[in-house]
Amino acid sequence: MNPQAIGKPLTRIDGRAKVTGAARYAAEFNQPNQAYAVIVSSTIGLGRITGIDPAAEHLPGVLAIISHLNAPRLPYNPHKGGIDPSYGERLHVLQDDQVRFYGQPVALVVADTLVRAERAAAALRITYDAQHPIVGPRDKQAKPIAPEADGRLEADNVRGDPEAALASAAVAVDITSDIARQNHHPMEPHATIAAWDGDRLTLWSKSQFVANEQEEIAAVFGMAPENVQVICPFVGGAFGTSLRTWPHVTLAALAARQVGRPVKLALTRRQMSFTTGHRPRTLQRMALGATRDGRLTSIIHEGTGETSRYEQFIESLTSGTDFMYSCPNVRTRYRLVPLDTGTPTYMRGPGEASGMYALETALDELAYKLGIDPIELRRRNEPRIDESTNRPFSSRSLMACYDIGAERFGWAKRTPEPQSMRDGRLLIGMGTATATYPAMQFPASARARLLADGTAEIESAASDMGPGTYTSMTQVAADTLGIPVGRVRFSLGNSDFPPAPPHGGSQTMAAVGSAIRAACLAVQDLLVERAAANPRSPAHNMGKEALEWVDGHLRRKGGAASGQSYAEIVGAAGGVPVEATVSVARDPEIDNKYSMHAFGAVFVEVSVDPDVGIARVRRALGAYGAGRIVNPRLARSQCLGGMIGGIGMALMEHTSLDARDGRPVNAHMAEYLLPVNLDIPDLDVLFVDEVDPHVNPLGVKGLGEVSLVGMAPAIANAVFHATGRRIHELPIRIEHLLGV
Amino acid sequence: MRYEKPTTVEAATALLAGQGARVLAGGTDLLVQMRSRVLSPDVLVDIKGIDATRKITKDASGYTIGAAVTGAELKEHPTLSKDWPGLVEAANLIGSTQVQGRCSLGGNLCNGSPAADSVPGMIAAGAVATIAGPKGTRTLPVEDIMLAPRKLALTAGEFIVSFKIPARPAHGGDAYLRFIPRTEMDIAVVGCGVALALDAGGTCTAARVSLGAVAARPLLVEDGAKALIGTKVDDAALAKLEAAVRAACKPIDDKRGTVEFRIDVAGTLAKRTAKIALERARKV
Repeated sequence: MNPQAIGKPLTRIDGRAKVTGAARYAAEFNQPNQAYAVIVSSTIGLGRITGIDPAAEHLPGVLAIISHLNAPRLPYNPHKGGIDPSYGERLHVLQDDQVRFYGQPVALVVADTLVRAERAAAALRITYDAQHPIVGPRDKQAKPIAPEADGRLEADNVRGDPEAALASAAVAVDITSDIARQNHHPMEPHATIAAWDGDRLTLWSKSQFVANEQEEIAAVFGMAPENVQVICPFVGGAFGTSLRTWPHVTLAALAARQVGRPVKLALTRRQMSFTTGHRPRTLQRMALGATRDGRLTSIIHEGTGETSRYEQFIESLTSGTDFMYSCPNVRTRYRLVPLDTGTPTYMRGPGEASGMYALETALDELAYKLGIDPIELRRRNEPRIDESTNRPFSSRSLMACYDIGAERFGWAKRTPEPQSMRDGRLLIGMGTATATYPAMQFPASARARLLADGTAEIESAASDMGPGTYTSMTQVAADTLGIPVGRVRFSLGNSDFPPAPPHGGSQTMAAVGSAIRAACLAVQDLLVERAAANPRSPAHNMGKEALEWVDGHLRRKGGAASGQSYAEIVGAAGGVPVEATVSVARDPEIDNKYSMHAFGAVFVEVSVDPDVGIARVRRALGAYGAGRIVNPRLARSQCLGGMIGGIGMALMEHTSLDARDGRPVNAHMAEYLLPVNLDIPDLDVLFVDEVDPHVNPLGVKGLGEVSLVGMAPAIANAVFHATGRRIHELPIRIEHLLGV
Repeated sequence: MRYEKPTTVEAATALLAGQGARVLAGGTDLLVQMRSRVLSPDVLVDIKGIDATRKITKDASGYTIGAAVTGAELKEHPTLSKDWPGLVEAANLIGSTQVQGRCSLGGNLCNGSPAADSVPGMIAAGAVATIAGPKGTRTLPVEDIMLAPRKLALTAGEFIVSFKIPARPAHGGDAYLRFIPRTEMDIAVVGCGVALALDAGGTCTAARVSLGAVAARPLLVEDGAKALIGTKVDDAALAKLEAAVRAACKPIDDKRGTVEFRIDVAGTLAKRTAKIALERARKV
């Protein structure tokens, strides 16, 4: 491959469609004769429904009011997609009178207009027998449990004797932290339009994973997956909330079947606070022991995350701790607290974002105790290999990230003492932290089709929630085929396309990119065969070994002639398009040979106003080693988004629950605080020029998650540097900083 | 639900005297509350058809600002921002640019939130509301209008037509500051308005200090004004102001801030606000 497009800062191929409104999102695929459904959410946090007054049925325009009293029993066949908790059973909606959490869908109103559906939903009277829900992991009645063994992650790991090493350590820190529940709150709310044609169901539905949505809805309704089509060409932000298929999709399909019309169902902003997953609140203990010269001798990481009563949501809370630093004695332990709440789900940087907060703030604390610069402390504990598996890293550029980051950020100007830097009345602090996220790659497939005009069509059931999948995949296809990007059309977001893995876990570039590359190579092989069979082709009767592709032309190896173009080869055979569909999975041997992760070093400068206790990020820099950067412009943009998410996690985001009934008290954008434009300072992104020959043929690791991980601890460390006050709770609130 | 847009004060008061009637000005609070079903009025009385609610007039005694004049219009007025910058800045903190095209002083006050940004600004400026009702017109200082959250000193059929803002004193200045956790687009955790006047020698001859979001209603802090009057607004006076303001606070704990924090920040904010008002008074 002769890279022409890969590595170039192309602007978004879909940018014009997005800014002109031509891009269609799920709720915009309006269908003829479409009706509207509105979910009625429970107003208690636990208990049962005792009655539903049917009077609202007679309001104008109402087509149906569906509840457990009249809903058909749905098959709910077993199905666990790659993003569903492996232990427990998904919520069965409108199948019984039980209320398991506040906001659970308890009825569905379908009407001929949205306004009429909303009016009837507001008028619907439901009575309950309410019990007191347990919604906080610190509640005395909340009981931690060990996750079931069939969970996807190894929960408990140990090497050496960390307890003894901690007890005898020359210097130790032992801290506990509490990170708030967060909701994803993307710009685009969840929405589904469902339309039945006989036994066939079409869903225009916001999804990061259309292949799974197809299988899940087929299982819920007891249908063959091929009778369900899911279409989602554009996603208006998701951050993980559209990975699983949540109950509203089932409800839209159910409503459409009940009323015999296409039905649109969009969640309200409020409903997005309780039915579509959240980052679980986590409680953690992090104990570190070290020698006086700063060698780690013990790490103990105990993490507890919330989950629901009906499923065990597991995230990689302690995974980074296992391998991040060189240390002979390490114990990680992970527990769950089942609560009367909906099941949490993956949210950008799941596990690592929270777990690395604990590790990196503890390490910062240790640096102060030792009187060693935080970067130097990390350098002294930089491992040669992954000590949890004894495998080498496929590549690890962490120290290079710290080097270029510190240089650009001006870390040398930092005076180490807390409260030693000021700007007028403001206290200034600088903090740093390590970021990491595994380089995953699930099996993916793609189709490449060469047309008679020499252009290529590429299809994969992938998703683009914002990172630029449309653009980067086009770059991969163009370079693999040796043609300009303008001659490639890439389509995604349709379950009729070859299946792709979840658009999450920072693996889309690795997984789908590899599949597209393989599909393009496969179609080239087919074209070689076709040319070889053509007596008038210069490649007639020649084997693949004697031929090569140069700039989209097939020619004899070393030959002077320019060879045959795609258009000529396809045209010579009557213009019938040539296509290949290929699935690609990572060689399992690679996983056994290497420890594969992206790494980053994050630097933050904060100001703290001592009079009012407000901390603001003044500037931040992330330096990342994430393999090959396919599109520097979009990669930078993706990292900026992740860093902004980290600012939200550190200083603002918090879904606050009323302990009496589990009601989110800030279920709207006025009071669920996210950073707004004025909160976003000067952000900078650097990439280490990292070549990883092992991780996948493209050499890519992914950036979506690693760019959020590390931000919150860097901010907390900067706040400590500014104020001398260590805050072990996220978000850091004004109250924490009063009187500094 | 009925929508009415009367063009006279009399027609409006007649409509508002009926059951379930609500005044519609910019609608930036009312429509949101109707959408979330907090309020379900039977009659919406849009007062924007009444000329007096939509204009700003200026004479020797000061300004008369229509209750439905928008935040954007306040900002664009040729002299209002020069005379009462604190009041205009307070009103311009309501919502986003889009909301500024609709929101109004009358609506911000009558929504009945203790955290309304423009209300401490109006109180500090000495604004007096002109209220029309079935029995005719009366006036009431702005600090006497809101009694408690969502509770106003208006009776059935009454609505605010306009606000009278006095002429700025020769050496007068005002300011408004609020504290919010993020940098824009947020609801005040504490708000503070200060207006003061100086004599030729720089001694404070008159002052008004007001607070928002630290009690069940916006407050006029008389002791805060007393701390400033007769002084050069020096550090000693500002320390007394800080103490007086903290003493006046009766906040609650809520998800935006704790009691301790609000009391603490209110004092700090009052000092900062007074300093800005002082600078402005010295410059004119």
